[in-house]
Amino acid sequence: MSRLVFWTDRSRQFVVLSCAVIVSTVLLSIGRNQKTFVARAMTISILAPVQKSVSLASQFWDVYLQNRRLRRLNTELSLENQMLREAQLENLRLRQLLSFREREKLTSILLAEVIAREPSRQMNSILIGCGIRQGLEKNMSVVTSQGLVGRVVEVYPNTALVQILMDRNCPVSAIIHRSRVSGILTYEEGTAFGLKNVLWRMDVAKGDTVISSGLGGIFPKGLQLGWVNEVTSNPRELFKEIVVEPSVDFNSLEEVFVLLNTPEKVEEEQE
Amino acid sequence: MRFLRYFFLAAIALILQSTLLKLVAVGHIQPDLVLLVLFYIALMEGSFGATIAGFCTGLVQDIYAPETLGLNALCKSLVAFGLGYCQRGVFMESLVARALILFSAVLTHDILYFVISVWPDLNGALRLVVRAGLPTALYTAILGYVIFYLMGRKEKARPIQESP
Repeated sequence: MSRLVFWTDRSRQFVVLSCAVIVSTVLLSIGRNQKTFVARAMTISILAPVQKSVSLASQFWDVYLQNRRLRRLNTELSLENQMLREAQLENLRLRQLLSFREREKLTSILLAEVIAREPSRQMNSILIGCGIRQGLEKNMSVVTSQGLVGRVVEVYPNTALVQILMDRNCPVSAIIHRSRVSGILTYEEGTAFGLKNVLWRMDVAKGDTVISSGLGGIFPKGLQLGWVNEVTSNPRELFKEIVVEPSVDFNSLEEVFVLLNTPEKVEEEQE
Repeated sequence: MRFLRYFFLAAIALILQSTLLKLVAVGHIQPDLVLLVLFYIALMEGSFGATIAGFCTGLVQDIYAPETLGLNALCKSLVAFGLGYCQRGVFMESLVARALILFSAVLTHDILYFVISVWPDLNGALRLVVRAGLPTALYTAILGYVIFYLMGRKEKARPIQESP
């Protein structure tokens, strides 16, 4: 009996193998019959839901990868879009500057980039990227296509300090384009300028264009300064109170033109 | 309890083999997780358990391949039986030996499978073995080496319990 048990223990693996081989061979030989189809259908119906769940995880991973790829693409396109917008704005600005150059028939002007602004709440000056080496001198006028910006007050080898009109110490002799009434344009507060020394009976109306008069010998004549925004006349006062809105947006200066021919030089050349 | 563990292992291997394993495929070559699990079962249980496990897993795989019903069961039963025999050898302690045996097992399985499935086209079988069998065996052996290495480290890290 014990010998039988021993034999069974040792040979059970062969028995199992034989059974497996026989059954497999039978299965191989019978091919597709109805029973196999039923068994297969049952197994698939049990295993399929599990596999579907696991496949979902795979799909989630695909979606995750796709999401990452799309987000990266989105960022790249967004950056490209920003750069294109910037290029478009720059293009527009340069076109305006070029049209200004055409309009004013100024041959001796120099394009300069604004490289720094005065780091205070009261912006009185800007630093531009041109200096002595580019032919800049003190008191040269600085303009944009919108109008007069200011004048050069300090010149360094490759940079220059420009006093802008928003400095209270930078008054400009101005005239009203329509009526040729003259006055002194000075900065007041915020973005507002005042046109001073205009007699109460002078012809000034809201919307009039204010231009430089050329008097004073620093700024050329005819540069646009702004528009009359408000006019207050009081018979008891000798002068009108005129508020002028500047034509130049001083907060968004990026490129400016320096007029290399100062009025004195022009006069000298003419003489 | 341990048979339940083997059952789950085999089930997970079968499911992964047919779903997620494409993510780690190199070209079209995937490791044979089912054979890896059979190798583990053979190490633990010997020929008897391994043959049964091989037959069952092969049969489940066969259900998805109606044209060759019984072929996977046959091949896996034979290979599992052979692996179970190797379990008795002392050299199985070596990781490299395990990887080599796993490589041979996968290769043997694929040779059997391809020869029977394309019989009598032996040239075709040889082509399939070279193109698919060898890379699969290599991939499975490498994966098995890594897994057994990690399992070995885990075993070493486990504190030894003193018997009372």
